[in-house]
Parts: sequence; C-alpha cells; structure tokens
Amino acid sequence: MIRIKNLYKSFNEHKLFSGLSLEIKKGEAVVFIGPSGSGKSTLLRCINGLETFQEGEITVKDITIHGTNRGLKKIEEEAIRRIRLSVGMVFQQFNLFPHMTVLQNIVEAPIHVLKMSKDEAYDMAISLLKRINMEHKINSYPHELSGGQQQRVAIARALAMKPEAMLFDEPTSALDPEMVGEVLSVIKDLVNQGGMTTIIATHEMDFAKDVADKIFVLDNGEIIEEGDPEKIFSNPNTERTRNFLSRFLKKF
Amino acid sequence: MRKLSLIIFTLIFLIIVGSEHSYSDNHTLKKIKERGYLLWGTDLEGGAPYAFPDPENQNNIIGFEIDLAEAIGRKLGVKIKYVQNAWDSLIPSLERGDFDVAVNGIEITDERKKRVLFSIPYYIYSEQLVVRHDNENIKNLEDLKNKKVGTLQGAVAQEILEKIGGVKIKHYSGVVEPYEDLVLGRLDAVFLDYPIAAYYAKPNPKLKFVGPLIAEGYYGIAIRKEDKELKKEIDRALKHLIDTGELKKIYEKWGLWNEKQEKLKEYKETIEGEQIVETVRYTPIYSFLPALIKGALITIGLSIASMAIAIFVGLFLCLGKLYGVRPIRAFCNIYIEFFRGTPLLIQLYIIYYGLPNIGITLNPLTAAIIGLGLNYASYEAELYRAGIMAIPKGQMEAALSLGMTKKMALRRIILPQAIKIALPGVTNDFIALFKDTSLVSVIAMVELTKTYTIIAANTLRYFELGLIVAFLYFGMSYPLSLIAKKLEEKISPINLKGGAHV
Repeated sequence: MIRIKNLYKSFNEHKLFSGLSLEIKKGEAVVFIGPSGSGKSTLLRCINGLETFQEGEITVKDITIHGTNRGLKKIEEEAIRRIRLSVGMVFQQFNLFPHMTVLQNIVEAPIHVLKMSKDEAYDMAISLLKRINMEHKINSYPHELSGGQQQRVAIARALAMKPEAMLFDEPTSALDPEMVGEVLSVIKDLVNQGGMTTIIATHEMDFAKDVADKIFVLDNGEIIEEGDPEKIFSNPNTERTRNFLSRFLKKF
Repeated sequence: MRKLSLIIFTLIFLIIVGSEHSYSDNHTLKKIKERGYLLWGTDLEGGAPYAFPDPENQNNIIGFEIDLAEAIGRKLGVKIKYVQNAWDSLIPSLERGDFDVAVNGIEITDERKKRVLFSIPYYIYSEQLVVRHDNENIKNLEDLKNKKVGTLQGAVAQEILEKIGGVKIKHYSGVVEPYEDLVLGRLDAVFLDYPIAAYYAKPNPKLKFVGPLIAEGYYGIAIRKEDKELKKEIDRALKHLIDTGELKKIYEKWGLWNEKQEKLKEYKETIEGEQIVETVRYTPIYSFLPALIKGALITIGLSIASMAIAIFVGLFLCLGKLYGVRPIRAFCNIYIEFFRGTPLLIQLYIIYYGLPNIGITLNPLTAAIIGLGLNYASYEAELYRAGIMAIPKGQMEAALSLGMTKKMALRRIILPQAIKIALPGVTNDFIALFKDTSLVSVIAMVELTKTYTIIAANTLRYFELGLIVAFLYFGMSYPLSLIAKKLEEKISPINLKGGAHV
C-alpha cells in the first residue's frame, strides 16, 4: 500500500533522513514512536506531500512521487494530489476551518473535490458524526467545541473523503489529558472495526501497544527498530530503544 | 456628544477671538514704510501674462502686474515682496493678513467690495469666448446652452455664464487647464478674461476667438477694509502712472493696450456696491444647502465607485504578489510600491492631464474614479496580504490534505478568513478614501469640497459654509467609523483561531 524507498531529506544544513526505507501493507496499523525531532511527523508529512524531499521515492498504491525537482512539475503536483485523495490526514492542531460549522467542515471537500451531491454528503456527514457521538454539535463552530471534540470532527472530516489510508500526526499531543481518551478510542474503533490502513505518530505508549500491528522506533531520522509491539516494549533489540523507552516511561 | 459640542464651541470661540486682533488698527501703511517692503499676494500658477515665472529663468517673476508692482513700489519708495497664494483664496488670505495687497486680475465686484477695499482700477478687461478652430456651431454666448464651457472658479466670467442659464459650467482653479481640455475635446468652449485668452489661446493654432469682447469690468488692487491710508497712497501712485502714460507703456509692452483703457482716466468711484453686498451677506445659509447636498451625493457616489475598484484590483494585486509567477510578482510589487510611494494628487494630475499626451483622454468623473481606485488598490492589496499571512499554515495544509488544489484552498478556505481579518482595515480605508475624494477637485470634478470653494469664493462666507461642509463630511464618515468599530469587536481573536483550546 505505502512504500518508501531510499528517502533523503535535509533541512538546510541539518540532515534528517539518509536512505530511509519502509513498507506498509494494506489494512495494517502502524505506529511511529521515538523522541521529539526523531522524524516521525516529517515522515508522515512526506507521504502526503506536505514536505519535499531531496532523493528517493514514495509510492502510495500505484502512484509514485520522486525526490528530484519536486514542486516544479505539474505532473508531480497532480501525483501528490492523487495521493492526498487516497490518504487522509489528521493534524496535531486539528486545523478545522474556523469559518465553517462542523457540518460544513465535513462536507466541504466531498462536495467541491469529489463532486458529491449535497444530499449524499449531508447523509454521510450525519452518519460519521453519529459514529463519533457528535451529531448534537452538527451546527456548532469549531471555537465552540473542546479540543477533543475538535479532533474527533477533524477525523470525521478526513474520513468523509473515503480514504484508503489514514495518517495521524500526534493526534493527542495538543489535548488536555482528560480529552485524550475520547480521541484515541475513535482511532481504535477505526482500526479494529474498519480495517483501515493507518499510520500513527504518537507518544501514547499504551495506546501504541494496544492498537499497533507493527511499531517503528525512530531516532535521529533512522528506523532503529521495527516489529511486533509486545516484543518491542518487553524485550527491545537495541540499547537505543531501551534507553528511549525507559526515559520516556519514567516521565509519567 | 456633550464633550464634542464643547470642543466645537471652543474652536469657534478661538477662531472668532483670534481674528479680532492685529489688523484692526490702521498701522499697515506705517509698518510697510518701516520694514521697507510691501507684501504683494498673487498666484503664479498659470499666471501669465499677469504674474508668472520667466520661462527662461524660473527664479525670475515677470508679467504686466509685476511691472505695475515695481512702478508702484518706486512711487511709494518701498520694495515689493511677492507672496504665492491660490487665486480663489487670495481675498481670504489677504483678510487673514498673509500679505498687504492682493493683485491678480481680481475683478472689482459688489460682493468683493463688501469684504475689501479696491484701489482705482488699473485695467479694463473684457471677456473673450474661445472655441476649437474647426467649431462652426458656437458664434456667441447664446450658442453655449447645453455646451460644456470652462472658466475660472469665482471669476466674473463664471457669473456671466450662470446668468445665461443651461450652460454646463466646468470650474477650474488654474487658467492653463481649461484651454488644454478645450483642445482635447473635454470642453466645447472656454470663457475667460481677455488678457488670459490673449496669452494662452491666441498663439494656439487649434483654437480661435469667436464673438465680440463681452462685458466690461475693472481689475483693482485689493486692500484690507481698514487700511484706508494704504488705499489712498496706492491710488495716488496709480493715478500718477495713468496720467503720465507710464501704465500705457507697460500694457503696450505686453500687447494688452486698447482704446478702452483710455477710460481709466475718467474713472469715478461709486459706493453703490455696499447695499447689494449686504444682501449676499444676509442670504440665509440654508439656501446653499441644496447645492452642498448635491455635492455630498457626488462625493458618496465617487467614494463607492472608487472603493469598488480598489477592493477588486487590490485582490488581484495581493494574489499576484503572493502566488504569481515571477514577472507578475514583480509587477504587483512595483505597482504597490509606486502607488503607495507617490502622492495621490500627482497621480491624479498624471491621469487627467498627462495621459492625453499619449492619446488617452478621460472625462473628469472617469479619471477621478480610476485615480482614486488604483491608488487605494495598493493599500487594499497590502491589507489582504496581512490578512492572508495571519492565517495559520495549518489551514492551507488541511485543505491540501483533503485533496483541494492550491487555488481552491485559497478561494474557499484562506480568503474568506483573510478578508474577515482585513475588513476593519478596509472600512477604515473607505473612510480615508471618502475624505481623499476632496482632492479630485483639482481635475474639474465638482464634488462637495469643490462645491464649497465655488460658493465660498462667490460669497466669501468661508467660515459658516466651511463648518457646514465639515459637518456634512463628518455626518457621512462617522457612521462608517461605527461600523468599523463593530466589525473589529465582532472579529475578536477567539473567532479566528480554529484550533484554539477551549
């Protein structure tokens, strides 16, 4: 479903990825963990074209984007757009459109990008809102919602485009602790019941262990370990993973 | 409201008290002799052949009135110092004490006699009608009905035109521009004093004189009402110049002499003016209201049309600057910097008087709307840009991640939010534009300010009419300020941050 081959990316002088590769199968739920600045978010953003990269290629389904001359070519731009149509994204800061109601946020892209009829889009939005227990807020504006509610709407908005995969970029990092649970449970339902191909970057270790089919541990732009969550949390292969986990778990 | 009226009354009080002192005593003549020079107010702008900068040496002032001034100066035993002042406000400036005498083809009229003293006349003028050389339809004043005729604001020629009725009078504050507009076809005829026509129109092969010399009047030297001693002295000097033929020599030198001038010798002063003038003074102020309100309506229309252009063009400038390809970006940048970095007044002159040189001739209304609109577009563009920059990056990313193209994301997600942020600024600009419309009076556009200066120049009631006009402007712009304030309150930060934590 998603394949990254030999990815090189640097910000100005600072090198982040030098030859990173990985593959995610259809229906798999994958979690990226690792310290801040390890490249989890950047990797997600590369997949749907919000970040450029210098070398290598990323393939989603049958669409490939390359590292060279990105952004200059119309064809590449179109390829990125096609990838975005099959991959939904949820952001740390929710990024709901503040000038639109919950309903308008959800139906905006289906109507204007997918050319869905209004009736169909509204029906779909209502059933999505029911799924996340938010149908009573259908006509509210984002600023009237709590952070957790906003993030759930953001998930519904991404799902309304009927993507084949979902990317979650630290979806609970900006939330107050008491709201983390409601968002994670929505994601968990999506993975367990929907069988959606999912990539999540997160610091929620329990959640990662619970939901992931496979975990990638990143550090300094490198995948230092990958595999079964049980094994990584109980008996990691490398010293670096052990260090990260102990450091991280101690904090809480 | 109470505070406001207090401030206004204080202002009025200060103005009245302020004008009371200084020139009430009769020492002007003594003062002039003591300091050794006479302050001579005149308008050099388009001032030929009266008083104007020497084309060969711009620092040197020449003209028949300058020769006259020097001759009078010699008689009085003082030097002359020239003070530049716009023609239509020469008399108010004289009253204010900016100079001792005002001289610039000022016709001796009953209205003016009420405000100032006049010397015995130094020239007998007539009015001359001028048309384009190929015009066969206009032969005399009666043919001017429904025609566009240019004249000098506040001049006697204007009054004559008004008396004909049905003439579309275009008011100018300079004497070069009407003949220029006549050549360009913006006017059908120009009606002005003979010396002006002789100097500006006669040498131009595209123009011709038609009809006889019309009316007859006197140019006099205007002197403040209380300076009777100064008037006596100047009269004596003038009389001497007339009797000795010295004045005749000056007029012959400038090609202005004719038999009519012989009558200068027999001039007898009358005092009949006083009564007529009193009636103007007591004309109730509300009788001017219809004209002022009409001017105000034109101001409103002008503002709305210009703002519409500014809002529209500004949007394209802003998008071009932010997202255009290189040459478009460069163009938008240059446009914005140029229009923000040069005075609106200069831009208006270039659009109205400059463009005809390259074949684009606009009527005053179009030129005014385009000039104001293009100027304000540069300000609107920057307001929109600030609005767009204030939208968090995540908004664009979220829109793109939903499969929108950049264009669609801009149109549906970024711009609606950016415009909301820019709205209070745009409203404030509208208020500013509203007041800037007063500048277009320089291109023969008669809006509220121009209506005011026309009426005030005729009646010399600058003070009461000025207050009324100021209140009209205020009454129109204050509601806009209230709207701007409301908008600013409505768009509080909480409504902007989609991702705000609650």
